[in-house]
Amino acid sequence: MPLDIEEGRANNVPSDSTLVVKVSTSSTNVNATGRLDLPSGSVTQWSHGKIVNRTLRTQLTATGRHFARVTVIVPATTIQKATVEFSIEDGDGTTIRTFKPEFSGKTTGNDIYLGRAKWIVSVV
Amino acid sequence: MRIAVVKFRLIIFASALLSVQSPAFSQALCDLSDSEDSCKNKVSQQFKAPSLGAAPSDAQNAKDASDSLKEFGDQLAEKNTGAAPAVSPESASSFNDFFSTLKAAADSGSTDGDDDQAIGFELSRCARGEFVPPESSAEKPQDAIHARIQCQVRVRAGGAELYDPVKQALPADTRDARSKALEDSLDFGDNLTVGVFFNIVGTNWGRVPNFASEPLFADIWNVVNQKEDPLIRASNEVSNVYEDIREQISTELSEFDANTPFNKVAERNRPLAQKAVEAREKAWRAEFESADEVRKVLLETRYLDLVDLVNNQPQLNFGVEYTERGELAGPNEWRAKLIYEKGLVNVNTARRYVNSSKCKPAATFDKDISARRVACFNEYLSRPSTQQRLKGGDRLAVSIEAVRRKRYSINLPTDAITFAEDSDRSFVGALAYGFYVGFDDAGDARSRIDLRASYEDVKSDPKRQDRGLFVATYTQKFFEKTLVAVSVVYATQPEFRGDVDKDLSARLGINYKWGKLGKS
Repeated sequence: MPLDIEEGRANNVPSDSTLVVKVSTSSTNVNATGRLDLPSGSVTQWSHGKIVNRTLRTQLTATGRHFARVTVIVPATTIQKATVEFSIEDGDGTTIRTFKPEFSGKTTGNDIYLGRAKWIVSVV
Repeated sequence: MRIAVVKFRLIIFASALLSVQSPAFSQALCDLSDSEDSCKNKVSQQFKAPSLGAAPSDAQNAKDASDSLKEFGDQLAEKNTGAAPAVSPESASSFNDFFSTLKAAADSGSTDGDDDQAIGFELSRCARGEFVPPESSAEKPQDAIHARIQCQVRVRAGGAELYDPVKQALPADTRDARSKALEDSLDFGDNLTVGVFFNIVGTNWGRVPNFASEPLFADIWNVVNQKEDPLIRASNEVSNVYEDIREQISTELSEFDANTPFNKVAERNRPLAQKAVEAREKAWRAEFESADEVRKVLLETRYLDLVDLVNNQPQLNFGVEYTERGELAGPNEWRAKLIYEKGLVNVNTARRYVNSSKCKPAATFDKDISARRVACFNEYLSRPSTQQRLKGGDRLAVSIEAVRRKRYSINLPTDAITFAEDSDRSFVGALAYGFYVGFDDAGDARSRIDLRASYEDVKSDPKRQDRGLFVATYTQKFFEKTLVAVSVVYATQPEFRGDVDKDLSARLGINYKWGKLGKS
């Protein structure tokens, strides 16, 4: 499927928890970017260099719904895989929620495979 | 009057057709029998094909043409090289695709190409495989490290064969039987190769797409983000509506999840279930529309073409390997190889154009630098000279290979032969340039020209000592599997020209090949 969207949610997340994002890819031919939409409407962009094979931590200070998205692009004509790892750590650094969708696809003809992980995090 | 009615009917038909094709006009797809997941599947069916009706790009066409000739080229290179030079066909002809690090190792192999019974081991990341700038400079590509060395260690064992000169030295009447018996006595340890290969990767080098540091990728994503932003915000709005409903559902049906049919909710609260289905579909649709927009903008900004240009980036590979052979398998040898290859249209040339004053996009972009640069990138790809080189697949390759074989001797009392060879060295430097010249109506390559100049100094081969050689080859493909290749061969010294099919002069000759390609 050229567009693949996986959605998850984490409800009742305590304020001041930390959102952790990491993307693992099967090859250098996979691009990934993302964004975090805060309840206030402000947006934080995550570039490829910040999330691919790296762990990015963002503290969730506001209450309300946060939308975290990671979009994975496979421009290669051979199947490539990517795993998006979302998690929430509490104030002690303990993981209290996880969401780990996996994507697998390839570009066909003139179309691009696009996988998206969307995690809806409700902070209370 | 009748014409007006027909026109009216056509308009209605066209409108109906549009409403079916465009997701924005689609009717409700999900109902109470659906779950969240099945509703998603229904919505996703409407976004199967990109909403942009883009024609295949020039780079894609060139790549397809290249692929269609790849097998043809591989076999042709083998045929054309005839009495094989010390270098592999890759550097003898620019026909072949660039080396990946893996392929560099494979092609630098000192065996005779039959690895069917060999076992190999490769460690491809003795340095970090992907070029990633330091965290602090991830958002500032201009501050990134420009190059680093990627390396690969390769160990290969097995595939040993009886050394051909020994085989030829066996008595003719017992040669076949004795060769077989001697080959049967060879084992894995009779051919062991260990090599290390280095490859430069970075901003200006290598076939690794630098998604994190290449400014052109950053520009495209800036444009994508701008265009996607309102759709993401719209998606958040409808998602919020659904999430509110979902929270209500959870209070009534605690086990509700992505696979629960909304019918289950309807059994307790039908109006809520109905609202949920509608909101769910809207939320899925909004999310797919935003993802589809990303796909559409990536295609519009020729993201795939930029990825393809990575394959044309300059590459510098260096490898050294040592082969230890058993007594029957031949002499031990050292082999070193340096290869530089590049396509004439690549990410570097695109970046230079985008940053130069040559780019004069038709539209004005005020302060939107990324949009301007993306427009310049499109302009660069659309230039006739760029298209010509993309379509022609112009590639340049320079290679230097040195081989040193150790002294070799073997005594076979059963066959009453003693065979010995002195240590030997060879040196071959080559410059190759190749490009496609003819295409069929479908855009597939049909003919190609390869030019190759080389200097060879092979101590053990009198015909290849201190020899300069120039070979120009024209290849024409007929039907799918038939080719004719004509090579003009010129040698710097008459005695070193080598065998040709037709003499033109002491230094000049012609070779021609004709035949079917393929294994059958």
